Amino acid sequence: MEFTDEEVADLYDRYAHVLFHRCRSILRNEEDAWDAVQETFARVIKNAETFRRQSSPLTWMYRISTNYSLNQLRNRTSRAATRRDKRADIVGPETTESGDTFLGDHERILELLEDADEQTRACVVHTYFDECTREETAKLVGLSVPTVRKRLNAFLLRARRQLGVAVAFLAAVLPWIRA
Amino acid sequence: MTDSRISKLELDRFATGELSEEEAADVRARLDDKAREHLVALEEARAKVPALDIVALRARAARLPDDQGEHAAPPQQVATPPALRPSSLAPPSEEPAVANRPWWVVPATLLAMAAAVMLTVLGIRTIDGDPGPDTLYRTGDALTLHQAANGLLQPEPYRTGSPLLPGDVLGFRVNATDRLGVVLLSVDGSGRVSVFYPASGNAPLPLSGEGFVPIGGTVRLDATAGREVFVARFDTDVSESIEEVERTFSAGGYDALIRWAEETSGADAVEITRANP
Repeated sequence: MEFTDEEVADLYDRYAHVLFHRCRSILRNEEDAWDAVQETFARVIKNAETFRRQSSPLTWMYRISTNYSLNQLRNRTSRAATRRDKRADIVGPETTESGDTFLGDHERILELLEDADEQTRACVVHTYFDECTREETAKLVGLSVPTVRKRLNAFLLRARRQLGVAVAFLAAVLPWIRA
Repeated sequence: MTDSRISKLELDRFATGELSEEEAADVRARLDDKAREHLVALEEARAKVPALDIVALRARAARLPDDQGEHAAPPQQVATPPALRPSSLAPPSEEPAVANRPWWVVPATLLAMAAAVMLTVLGIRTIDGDPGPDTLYRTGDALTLHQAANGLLQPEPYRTGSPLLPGDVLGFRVNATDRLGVVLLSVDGSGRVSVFYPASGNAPLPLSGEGFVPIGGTVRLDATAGREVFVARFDTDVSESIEEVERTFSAGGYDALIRWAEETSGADAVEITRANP
């Protein structure tokens, strides 16, 4: 059964600001965050029957918005790399863009997620950005707790080989990943 | 490890009224400064959210493909698995398993020499456009599937998107770090277990090097439709790998097989969906 306009308005009033705040923390951009919120609600409308069956609608929305946000990030990184390449062709490799900044750990970790599969990315986002417990992460991603641990440890192993700073940061704030 | 932290998910559910009275009371009792800051930030975010444009939102929903969002639902109940057919692997003393396989495994060297002609003749289909964020498929952390695209000798990683069709060509890479050998099997839409690597014998295919390495050759899909799960089993012989896969699949189907592979350090699984046009 489709949602009426009043039902959509109620859901929007209840959940939109929460989703917006979360997507903004991942995407670091209000315009992109708003787009992710719109996409999430569009899917709520598209999949009304499924949504109505959820014991936690917000958990369902978390899952949708995570996937969408991570894909937006991937597209954004891809476009940025293309722009850097093209600019280097014009001005030469020794010139840096005025907007270039030293990447913080947030961006580094998101870059490391580029090569990870969807579920590993979701595990890292829920653990690192949402500060979810392993049990919550497992429920969000649809995996068992041991599998979440396995995925996170595999990600840390890759990160250790590519970027020791990010790993040190992760290890400092999330010591229980290793448990 | 006991942890009294409140996750952002729990705080968000608290803020949106999803928690029961008991759960909400528990959260209130555990609120610390950081949690209170998060709740304040949520209210500040409320002021930044634009007014609802229901017309635009419904229009956006109407443009979504029919399968978008469904796969964000919680995992489905495991269906009763179809009866397993006997494995296609012949005992080591008999003909090589490749002779009994329904798929055509092409040695990498022959494929490299005839790639352009083959791709043209076979009409390999490419998947166009960006895959959607709701995925039917997984790429594991030890096994990846790669789909050969038209005119490209470098296959693209297979991530998400529409089902694979008969004639599509797949290659495989496995994580060889700290591993000596691999057995690559699959359970297809008819419940049949097939072994792709090694080509013969009971010993796993030897691995060398670090990181993801191709395991040589490609497979061209036949007309079998439905779910299919590819399993990479490391450092285990072929007969034991088959037994594990058959036992797990018969007990709980494709989902059980994937869960087993996820929880087993020496295994990984990737699922695809195959359709007939």
